[in-house]
Amino acid sequence: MASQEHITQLLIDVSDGAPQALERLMPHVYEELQQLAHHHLKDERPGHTLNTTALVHEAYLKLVDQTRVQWQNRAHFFGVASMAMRRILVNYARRRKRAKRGGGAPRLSLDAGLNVMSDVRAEEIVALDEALTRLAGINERAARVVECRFFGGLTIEETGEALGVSPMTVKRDWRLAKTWLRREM
Amino acid sequence: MTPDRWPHVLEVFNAAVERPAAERGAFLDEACTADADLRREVESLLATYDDDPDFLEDPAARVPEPEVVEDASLDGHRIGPYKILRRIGEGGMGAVYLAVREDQYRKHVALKLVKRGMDSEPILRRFRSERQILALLDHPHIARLLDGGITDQGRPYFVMEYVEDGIPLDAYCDQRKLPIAERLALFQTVCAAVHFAHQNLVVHRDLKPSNILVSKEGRVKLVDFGVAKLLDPDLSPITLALTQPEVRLMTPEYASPEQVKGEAITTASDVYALGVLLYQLLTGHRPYRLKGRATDEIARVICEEDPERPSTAVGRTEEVYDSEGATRTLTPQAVSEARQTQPDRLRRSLSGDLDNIVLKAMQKEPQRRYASAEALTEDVQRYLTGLPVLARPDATWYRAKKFIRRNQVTVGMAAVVFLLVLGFGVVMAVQTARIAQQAHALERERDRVQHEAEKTAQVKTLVSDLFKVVDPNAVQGSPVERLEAASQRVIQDLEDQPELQAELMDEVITIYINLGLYEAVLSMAEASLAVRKAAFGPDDPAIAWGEHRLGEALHLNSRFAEAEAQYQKALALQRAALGDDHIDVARTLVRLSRLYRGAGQLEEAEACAVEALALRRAAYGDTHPATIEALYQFADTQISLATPDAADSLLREVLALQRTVLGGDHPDVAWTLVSLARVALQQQQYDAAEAFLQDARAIYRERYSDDHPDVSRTLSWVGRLHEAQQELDQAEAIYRKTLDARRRRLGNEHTVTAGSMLSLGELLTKRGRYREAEPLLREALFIRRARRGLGHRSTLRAIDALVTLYDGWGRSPQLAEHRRLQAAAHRAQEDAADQTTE
Repeated sequence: MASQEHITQLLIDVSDGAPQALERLMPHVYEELQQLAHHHLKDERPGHTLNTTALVHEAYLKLVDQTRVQWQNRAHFFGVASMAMRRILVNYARRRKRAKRGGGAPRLSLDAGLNVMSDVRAEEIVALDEALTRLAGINERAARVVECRFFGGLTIEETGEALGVSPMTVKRDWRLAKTWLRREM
Repeated sequence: MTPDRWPHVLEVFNAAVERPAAERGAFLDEACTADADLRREVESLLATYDDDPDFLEDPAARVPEPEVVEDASLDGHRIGPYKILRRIGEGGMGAVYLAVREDQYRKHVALKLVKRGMDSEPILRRFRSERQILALLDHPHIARLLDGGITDQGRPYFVMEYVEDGIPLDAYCDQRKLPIAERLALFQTVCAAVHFAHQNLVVHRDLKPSNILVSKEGRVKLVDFGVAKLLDPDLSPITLALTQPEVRLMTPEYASPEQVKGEAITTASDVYALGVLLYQLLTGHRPYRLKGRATDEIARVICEEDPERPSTAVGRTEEVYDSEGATRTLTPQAVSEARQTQPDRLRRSLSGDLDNIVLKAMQKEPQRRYASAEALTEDVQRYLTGLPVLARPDATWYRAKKFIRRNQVTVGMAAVVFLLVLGFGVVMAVQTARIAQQAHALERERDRVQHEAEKTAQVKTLVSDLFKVVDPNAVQGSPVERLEAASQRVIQDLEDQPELQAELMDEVITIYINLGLYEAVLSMAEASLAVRKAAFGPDDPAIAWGEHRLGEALHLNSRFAEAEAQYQKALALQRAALGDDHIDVARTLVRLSRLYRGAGQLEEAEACAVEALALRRAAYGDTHPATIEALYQFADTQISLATPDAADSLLREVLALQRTVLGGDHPDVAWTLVSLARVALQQQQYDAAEAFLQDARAIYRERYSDDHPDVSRTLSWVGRLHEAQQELDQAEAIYRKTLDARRRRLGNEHTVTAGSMLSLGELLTKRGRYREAEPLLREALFIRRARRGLGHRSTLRAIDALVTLYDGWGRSPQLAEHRRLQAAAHRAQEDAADQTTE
């Protein structure tokens, strides 16, 4: 795992508009989130809660040097983390579907403990992912809004910050995008 | 939608959504003038939105709020007609509360509130369908399931009999410092309750000390029977614990290998859990140290590692966690004190029989465990009364089998060798048991041990010989040829040991049957019988068995008349040598019933099945696989003899038993499903028939290749179903496919292959395609006549089909010829009937 300093720098570069920095930041965020999820869920601390929002915030605190960044950087991090969460959850849902089809395949070896979704939910997530990819072909921003809201668990405001648009725009995109997706699925 | 349309739709849609529904029409009229496409699009989106405005509003990964928060608020609250008094425990699936039902009388009950996050709808559905079965579990040592429902918040709950001040069985034994014998007595009570539930088709699935409570008065009560299945029929408790991580991780120690692998859970899984329970009661230790291991590591340990022998485990010093989660240090001294004995004496008392009993119950393969909880408790009883127990330590050949697995010899061949070696072990174990029963004097016991040792040495050599054959570099030829060569050689080497030679030949017969090498079965069965006749006296049961096997071999080769005579001969010998109620008699009767069933002699088939069923029920109880086999055989005769309703309900009973005892994906389940489909088809219930056939095919798809005879049988019924519904194209395609598969797998001249020719030929006749039908029907007639004889009803069916064909085709000479044949066949049939009456 790269140092906090390195990751913080990558994040600042992303905010400064360097697209290749995003490519390099993504794997670190992905890995961290997966580890965090795994750690949380295999631990048996009684009464702890876990949800996407908490995970994303925790990853941020861990990976990024707070003293060096501004609120815009934080928002960008959340945007990247939402993409990573989408990938983690969709991968998981696919594996779960495969295991179900395979019948006898051991269910234990599922890596991260993100098993909080039911089989029905797994079906839904895979279908959503496919529909979301189609949506991105029609309107990229709308698809990103769904990623932040649904997969990243971000609020309307946080999503607006991450994507650099007003909360009103997020709200309108969100309403149409989820309706369109619902119809597609 | 195209990218350039998006902004328009976004605009109009959002504007419309924010207006009251009544004003939307007018708004759209205005906004979409001259753009009908836009209007259609927005209207469709609005409908979707109104249908489910909360779609995606919950983020993808959300875990329920912690239980503690709402816990306090539950005190004094009501759930359905129950008043919650206090929380009394926390299980893997939810919290348990002490509650009273006030509207009836003030009786305490345990109310289990299912965790948030579990799908409530299916749980309730299963509860409704299973409550009848669970209500039947009326047993003094099983806590009754009284009620169930759903809370206002949509969470399912179950209400169970409350065990006043109940403490877990292991804690109870330790607190009272119960010696081994008393622990065994309590364990036997548990086994009896579990066996009772199994007989009522309920598998516990989550047996462990915290589900076995002992009341103040020392009364044992098993709780949560059937609850695991209600919560999730597919998942075992361990997978549930791992997939619902917010739930406190349950101890996976009681999960059997099949549960960990996600395979079918049956009564054998409960037997495994009983083995672990006994381990813990005897030693205080758990068989595996799983704490702190990664989940896939836990799975590996449970599926692969052999547990330490209980007598060894008591010498260990280790930290353990009790069911409350607290740690304490177990020392040999502490363990033996809790059992009122000394470390050395404890070790000696466990060593041998008790070690073997525990490890047999905990075998990795379900079929190597005790056949039932009852068999387990009987072996414990044998130990307590000083009789030799049935459990034996793993034999050399069994370890050899594991060796092969680890070293991954060519898979197919390894399977063959497993079977040989494993089957051999079973025969030896049975024989050991037989001898043990007769061994009253110590002297004989000593002889037996010595004899056993000689045999073991011999088997070792055999196995190593087989290894050489299995080595692909060592011998030329196909695997089957190598197997044949190897068994020939091994059998020759054993000429001075005819007893062993005969047993080995018998194992080879089993392998040939499983490989479908029916001709080889016949020659081996003949050779085996000859060896037996030379080595044993005429009244020896071994001869009877040899005759029976030859009957099976003839049966498999479609030589029905000879097979029948052979079975009858075996039966007479068995009855004379072993008595009418010996269990070997049942096996021959089941085969004979099957033969009569195929020949259409239904009354004879029924009589044999009834007798076999009674014998097996008496010997094994109602839920043993062998008993279920006999019950199926009986049900099968009823398809033609009884009313369809009666046959249907019998078959459903068989199906329920098979699912519980063998598991839902066992091939026998599929076989019964096909029979159910036949009955449904008889009654023209086409939807039901289709559903049964689909389920059967799903089971076979996982296990068998497409041309397996049982798959073809299923498919031929799918064809008939199509034909019955006048879907003739589909029926024809399926008949052709089945015929091909059977020609490949069973050969061109098998009577079953002829059945496919007939079905296809009759269908083609119906469609007026006489030229195509003729050769098929003539071939079928030729085969049936040669194999079954002219007077057999299946031969008659072929003749009838040809008469119909030539009649429809207008071929007078051929029609006349087959009418004459028809008459001759009827005469032959009557003659045969006369002979049987005499």
